[in-house]
Amino acid sequence: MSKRPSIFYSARLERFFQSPEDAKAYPVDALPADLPFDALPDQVDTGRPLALEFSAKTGDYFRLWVVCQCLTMATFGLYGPWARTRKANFLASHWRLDKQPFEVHFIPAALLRGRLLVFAFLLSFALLSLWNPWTQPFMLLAAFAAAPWLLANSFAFRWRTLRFKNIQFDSEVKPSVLRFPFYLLGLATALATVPLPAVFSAKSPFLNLAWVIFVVLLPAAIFWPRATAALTHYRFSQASWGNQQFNLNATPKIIYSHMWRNAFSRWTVIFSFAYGGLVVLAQLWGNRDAQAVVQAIGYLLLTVFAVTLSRSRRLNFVLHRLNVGGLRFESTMNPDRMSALTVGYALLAVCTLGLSIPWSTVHFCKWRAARVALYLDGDWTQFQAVEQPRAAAGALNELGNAFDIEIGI
Amino acid sequence: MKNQTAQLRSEKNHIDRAIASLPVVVVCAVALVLIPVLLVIFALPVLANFAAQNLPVRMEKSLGNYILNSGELLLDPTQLSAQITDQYRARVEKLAAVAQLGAVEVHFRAGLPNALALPGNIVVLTDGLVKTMADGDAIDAVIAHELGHLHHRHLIKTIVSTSLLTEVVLHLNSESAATNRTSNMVAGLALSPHYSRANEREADRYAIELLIKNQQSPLLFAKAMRLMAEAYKSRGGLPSGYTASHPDMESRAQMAENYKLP
Repeated sequence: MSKRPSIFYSARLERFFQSPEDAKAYPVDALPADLPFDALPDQVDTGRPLALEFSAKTGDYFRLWVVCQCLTMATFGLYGPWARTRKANFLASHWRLDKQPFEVHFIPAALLRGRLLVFAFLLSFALLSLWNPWTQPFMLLAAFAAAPWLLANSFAFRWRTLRFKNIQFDSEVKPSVLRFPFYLLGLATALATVPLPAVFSAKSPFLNLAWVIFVVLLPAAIFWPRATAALTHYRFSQASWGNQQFNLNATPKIIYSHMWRNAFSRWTVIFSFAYGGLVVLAQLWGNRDAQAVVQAIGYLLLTVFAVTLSRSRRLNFVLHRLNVGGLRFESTMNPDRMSALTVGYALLAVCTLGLSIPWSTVHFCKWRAARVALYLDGDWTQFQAVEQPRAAAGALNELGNAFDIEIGI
Repeated sequence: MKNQTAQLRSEKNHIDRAIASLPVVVVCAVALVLIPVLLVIFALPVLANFAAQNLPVRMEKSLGNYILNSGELLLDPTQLSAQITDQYRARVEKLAAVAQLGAVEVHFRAGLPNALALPGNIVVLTDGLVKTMADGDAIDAVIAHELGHLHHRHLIKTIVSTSLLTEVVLHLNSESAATNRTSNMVAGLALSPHYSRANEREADRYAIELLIKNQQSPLLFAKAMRLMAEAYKSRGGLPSGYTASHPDMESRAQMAENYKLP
């Protein structure tokens, strides 16, 4: 099933030679021919293949989404938690594994409490910054010091609200394991906001170089990827489903190394050259508007495309090294396509002032469902609910979740 | 879909009924597009103005000092003599007195021809500007323009409106970080320069009126704009166009030449 596709393999030819019955039973897009070369599974896929599908219709989700967004806007965000709950319930109930739906159990009032706490924190942050901007680095230090604790609680919240076959997922990450990468990152970020005209205007190349290394290069090359790798690892390795613990066959160091080895694809190289060419052309033309537009395109490619590319490769990597009990995963999600889709969704959302979001959400879920395969060794009885399921929303979990930090892999 | 809609209609919850009703969905979709657009066009400037006018002076001063002393301006200490800086400081103080702006702090920095107005009544003049405007009173026009920014509290308004714009974008696209980044970029590219140029024009009009109040010719403003344009000619000219933060210098000069007293 999961052999490396031949270089002569063509999905178009495959489609052409398939009988209509075969095409229905074995859609080509879900075949391993789409496996990205960097994402071959490490585990042998024995066991029964399980059908994963996403059955929602765009029209249904659009109705729900548009009314929820409107109510959230009309209530200045107060309806937001209820809207989120409705949307999450809708989406989860349309994800089906082995013909069984997933369930989410949000408590909207708890979400609202968390949001209000975060709002109060952010408001005081903004007011303090205005009152005395010199407090910014200290507040950033405090925020990064709290980050491991917030993230651990956010993980717990997200996993505990999810159920399948009426068995709760869980997560118990100790904040202490996230401290080191986040403290370093926090220190560099806080230093970046310290007003140091002496360093910038000093005629000492050594000071300027040291500043650039610690505040720009080290965070980009080491601190941030290390923190992301640690988050990815602990998010899964400390999760469980009922009585079965997730097992992720990759340490944070291995994930970090994977991130570096797979930070680029042929498309990022092509885009970089295309971007460079556009910059030169805009300079030669001398039109400032054109230069600004080229800069914006560069930003889009470098942030949205590159970040999604890295994230989707990480997702494939993790899925291929993850199992929970006898349940294993395989992904044929092409990182380039996933990144292109994300950029496309984002541009479409801007052009339609957000109205395309329901369509892109459903489309993306279907795209993923067609490209993730699951295999089960044994049967479902190996997964048993634990005797005392944990509360999905304790005060700390709500606070962690409400920060809603983009931690997804 | 029909089954699901029928099922929703039969339920008692009024939100479920709203979701099942096509007219309600259409109205919500229209509102979802129109309200943020109207908010950005009409409410944002009013809110920014209100916040800027009501911000305590202490906060403004603190912010101005922070920007001045942070690395953001990337400006070196002035190379001008104390005698020259005193002379220009006196010009600023005189114009500020005519404008009834209270005490204005004047700072000098090395660098290309430029002037800055920071929150808390702080004006920064560069050595390049002093050299460019060395002859005559044209520098008064630039100073008056900066006092216009202070009078209208433009920097604070920009900070507030940018934050509110980000909030509107965030509210619309809170489901996807990628969409968020893209919308922020487009909003920044399309709206921020527009707001900035509007502020510049407002400061220009204020400068001309202040010059007249100080019994000086509005043509000084036109002269100053042309001197600035000339100073940057050898460096490829000043940015202009839709994405530029300032209107082009020639149109500003012409505005001063054609200015009619209200």
